[in-house]
Amino acid sequence: MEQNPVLEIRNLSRTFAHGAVRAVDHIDLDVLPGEIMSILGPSGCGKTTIMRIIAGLDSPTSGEVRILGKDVAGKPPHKRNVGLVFQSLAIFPHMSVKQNVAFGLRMKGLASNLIETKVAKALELVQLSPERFAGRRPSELSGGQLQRVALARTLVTEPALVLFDEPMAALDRRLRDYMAVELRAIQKQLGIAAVYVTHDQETASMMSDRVIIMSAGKILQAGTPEEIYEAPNSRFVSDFLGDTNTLRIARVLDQADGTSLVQTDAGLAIRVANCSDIAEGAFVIFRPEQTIVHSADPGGAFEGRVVSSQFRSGLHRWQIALPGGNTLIAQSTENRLASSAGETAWVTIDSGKARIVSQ
Amino acid sequence: MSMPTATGRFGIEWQLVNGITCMLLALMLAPICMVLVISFTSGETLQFPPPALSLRWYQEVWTMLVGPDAGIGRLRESLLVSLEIAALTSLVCVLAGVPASYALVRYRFAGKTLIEELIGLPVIFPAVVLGIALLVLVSASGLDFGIFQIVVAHSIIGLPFLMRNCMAAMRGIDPMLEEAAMTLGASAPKVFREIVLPLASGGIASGAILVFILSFNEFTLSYFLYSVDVFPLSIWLFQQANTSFSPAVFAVSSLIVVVNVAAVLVVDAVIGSRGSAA
Repeated sequence: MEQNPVLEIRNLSRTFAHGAVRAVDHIDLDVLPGEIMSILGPSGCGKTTIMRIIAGLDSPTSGEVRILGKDVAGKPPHKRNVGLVFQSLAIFPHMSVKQNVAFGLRMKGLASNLIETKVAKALELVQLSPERFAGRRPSELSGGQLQRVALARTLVTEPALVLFDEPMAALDRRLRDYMAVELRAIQKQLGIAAVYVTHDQETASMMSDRVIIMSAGKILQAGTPEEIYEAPNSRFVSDFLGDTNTLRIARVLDQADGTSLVQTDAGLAIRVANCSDIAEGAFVIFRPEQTIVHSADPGGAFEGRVVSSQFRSGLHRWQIALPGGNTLIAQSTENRLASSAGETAWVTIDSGKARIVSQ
Repeated sequence: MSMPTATGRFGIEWQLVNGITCMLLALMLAPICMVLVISFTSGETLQFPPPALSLRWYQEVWTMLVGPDAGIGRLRESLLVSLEIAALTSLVCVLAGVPASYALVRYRFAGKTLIEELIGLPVIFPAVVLGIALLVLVSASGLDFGIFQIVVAHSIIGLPFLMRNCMAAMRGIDPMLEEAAMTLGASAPKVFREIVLPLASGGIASGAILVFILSFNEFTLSYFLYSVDVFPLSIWLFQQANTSFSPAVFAVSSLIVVVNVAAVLVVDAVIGSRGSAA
């Protein structure tokens, strides 16, 4: 079923310093009803600028922003019905939890008894008991609780679209994962559309329906978190989403049956499931878990020397130096090499997974 | 106090620092202490130390303020005029200074630096010159502004003090709080009322009280601009000191010191309570 997007961005650009800095460079994107779309990129890639433009806190140099089909150019933030959860959370320090959550409703001019009920509901939604927390000052709350207040304060106004500006950046890993799952559940429950801006690919993957990878003001790739992780279209995207082995291709040895045999700079021959034209200076990339290490030569493997090995969160990992200067990262759930640094090991690549990117 | 240095807290440096501090304190407090002590004299003259202590001059001042002949000495009238001028000056400074401070803190516009410099100007501008200028201006206009000519004069020197306090408080407000309020549906005036004013209220209050004290004590400008009908307390004191050396003048002075100290304590209490609440 074709749904009308909640948010449409068309050819959006924003330059600073009289055009010298292109923070946002001709961006197009859509957010559909009920989905979370993450804008993922390193700091300074323009993601926060896009979000501020959507909220009306900044104006685009050119291009269009439509919310529920209506162009919002020139519309001030308070008339946009777009919620924004700030990185700093921006909880009003001079107001109690209840006053914070009630703020948006009060600005809308709702009756006080209606505000009362809605605030209580919103606090329950974010699992803050109204009896215990309503009267508290922000200074009496923990980081996670402040997070919930910020969320409740935004959701209670029932915005058409909620923007999240890395609101969980300050939390520790475990709490962040927990909040991400919970936030996702609340968002699905309310069926609200959201844009989540972050540089943390794990959080983005956990909570998003779709992800957009940005760098230097441009969108590099868009898709589901899985699609992008499995099939990155550039070294940058692949590196950004996780550890990547990158080998430069020197030439193509053979192309047949939908596969290509390529030779890397270091002289390694690798077969990849791709037989289209391979540009000069392209790279073959594959992830550490797409390799298999062997303690004895299985035939057709690369021989290398173990540089180091680590064990972390149930995963074994090895850095293996190949002759010719390349070092590969290999990973497995099993301890396939009992050996330590300095010993010889063999690596095979799951050639169905290795990909070729031109840049 | 400064940290003990390598020479230790009994070293020569430390003694020097202590000595200078004590000397400065003595210099600052000695004259005022003298006024306080003499105001409690039992004698008729300004003899120091007083022959004996009594409250007779305070009783005298009390009579001058509320006695049946209060109208003659004009002390009550002067006090009320000074209070009125100080209150109005604070009000004018708050009304003009708070929005101006916000504009200077949050917005960039042509001439901003110039305005910032101008605000600082009266502090280094000789009050005598300003007094003469205003007197010329008022005379030239041929109008009688009554109390307002002094209020305006005091506002000119008071505004920078208010704005400095106010701007410091406003600079401490995270702009994201204002942006958050906007995205929650608050228009610009509402953001100002709901977020900026409450969060800057400590700075505004301390600035306003500072201006109140400044105006209440101000002499130079008042001297140029007072009239028979508008006769501030500082002018009253000056005239009394010129004509009679009654210890009653010292009793009045002591009361002014008390008023000033009380005002400062109020500022501290206001800022202190806000500080702990935030």
